[in-house]
Amino acid sequence: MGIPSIERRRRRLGYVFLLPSFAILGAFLFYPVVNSLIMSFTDWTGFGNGFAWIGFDNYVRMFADMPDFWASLGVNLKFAVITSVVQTILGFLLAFGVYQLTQRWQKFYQIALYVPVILPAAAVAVMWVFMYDPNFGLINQFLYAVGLDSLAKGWLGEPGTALASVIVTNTWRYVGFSMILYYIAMLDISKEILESSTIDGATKLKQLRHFFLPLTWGTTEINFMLSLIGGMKSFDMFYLMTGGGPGTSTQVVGMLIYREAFQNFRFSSALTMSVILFVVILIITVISRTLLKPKEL
Amino acid sequence: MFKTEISPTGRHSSNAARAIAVVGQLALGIVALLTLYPILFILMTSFKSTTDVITKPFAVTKMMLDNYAVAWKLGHVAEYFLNSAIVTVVTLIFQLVITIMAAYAFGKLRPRGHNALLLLYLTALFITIEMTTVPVFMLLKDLGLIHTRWGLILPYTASGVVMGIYIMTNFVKGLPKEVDEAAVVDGASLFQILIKIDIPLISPVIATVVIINFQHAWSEFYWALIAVKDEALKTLPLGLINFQSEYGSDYGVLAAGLMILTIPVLIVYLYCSKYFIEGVAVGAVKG
Repeated sequence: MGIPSIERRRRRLGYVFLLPSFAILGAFLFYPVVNSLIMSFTDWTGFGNGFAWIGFDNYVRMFADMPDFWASLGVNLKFAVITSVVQTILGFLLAFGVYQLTQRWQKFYQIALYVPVILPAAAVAVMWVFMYDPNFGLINQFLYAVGLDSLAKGWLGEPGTALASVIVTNTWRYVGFSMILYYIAMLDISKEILESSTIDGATKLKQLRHFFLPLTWGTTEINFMLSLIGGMKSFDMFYLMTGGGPGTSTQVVGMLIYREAFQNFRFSSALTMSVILFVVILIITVISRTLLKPKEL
Repeated sequence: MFKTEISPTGRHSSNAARAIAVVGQLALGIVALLTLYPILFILMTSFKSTTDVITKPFAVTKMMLDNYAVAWKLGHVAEYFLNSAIVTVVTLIFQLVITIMAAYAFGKLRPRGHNALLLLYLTALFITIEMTTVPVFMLLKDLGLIHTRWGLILPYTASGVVMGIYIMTNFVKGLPKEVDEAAVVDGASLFQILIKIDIPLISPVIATVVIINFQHAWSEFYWALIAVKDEALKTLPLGLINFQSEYGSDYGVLAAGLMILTIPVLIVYLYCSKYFIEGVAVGAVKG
């Protein structure tokens, strides 16, 4: 009697409790994704409800005559791979360094290095545009101050340095994130193993190679993948810092999608790009997962 | 600041090891400087007059709050700030109610099919915003909510809910069942148990979820750019961009606007940094 009826009430209440999340996710995540997929097979412009089915035409067009799209994808790939490698390696080294410190300094670095991660994108971008400013920017001012005038330049305005400048900013912003993940993983390494290896005369460098690196490999995988995916999806920094320029040297796919949909009003074309980008991200995630699979050292 | 190297066998650590330690220490110091200096630089700039910014970029000159006054009043930062605050607070309340209900259902009530539904929810973590932008825009337009605050609040709510449910469900699953059973025997309803017993127990994880979502709702930029055209509804990140074109050459005022955007996030972060780190640790498992 008592128990089964409680059980039934539990279930009913369970469905009621799931209703709000289902409603909001259905409306703003699942329906849109399905819709994106479907509409990428139409010639929908975004105005009104009129559209015709055109099969794979959007996709064919993307492959046949959208050199912009593939160039953008190239910028994305370059950006994503470089930031991921730099950020992951730097994050590891920082975490390893911080791990060696006393408790209080560990706390300090934990908090300090994570500060840029929580800063709003708009703040980071404005801050760095400021720093890269050819005339008053901190970086050129510094170069003048130390007598390296010849190195000063308009960092964001030159095709040769624009992408690299955004990469530096992005690394500055997110390296604390990679570092924290590594740091947390390092805290899980058994202290006894480390101590006994110290007794056996292992240097810090040896410990790094034989314990820290292999035992945090799972984190390496996560870090690398998160920044790779983040890099492929990035929009904010580019929109705010370079606007895709100079020329199209920093035009990432996210920006192209934004332009196509909300400036050129070619919605179905924008949707097609989103779908392709999604698939590309999926593919490189799988590839990097396979590449990073822990091997016996 | 490094732990002193005392090898238990009584051997002194070699000079080379000590040199490496010093180099590492220095490198970390430089990284900390590089990390924090840009923020300090902006803070300093925000107190300077434009001439001082240009002539003495590195010097600490006299402190003045004029730039903040200009930004707050003439730059409409006060309005942007209010808009951001409204959107963020409403979003957080929605998210919290939805997340707690769902986590409680997934972790405790477990109605039939809950596992499949949770799996479906988790696939949302792989959805990119570009995949949803256009349809969400059209949906909100059809509902007449585009270019209103709801046009921000609803998508923001959706975007944080999955992660929140994921973190919180794991936590709810770990709650002791005995307390509940005793309460049921005492005649408490399921709802009373939730409010009186469970919510206090999960308050640490509530803090984590709030912090993660606060940062997102307060700082979000991409969607706001699309969904808000009306000057009176613009949030702080959007406003700051406006600001950049309007006061682009007035660095002190721009820096002040930047600090107004940044300070609330910094306060929340420093105040709750412990939960932040934990939240990141839990969230990382999703990869």
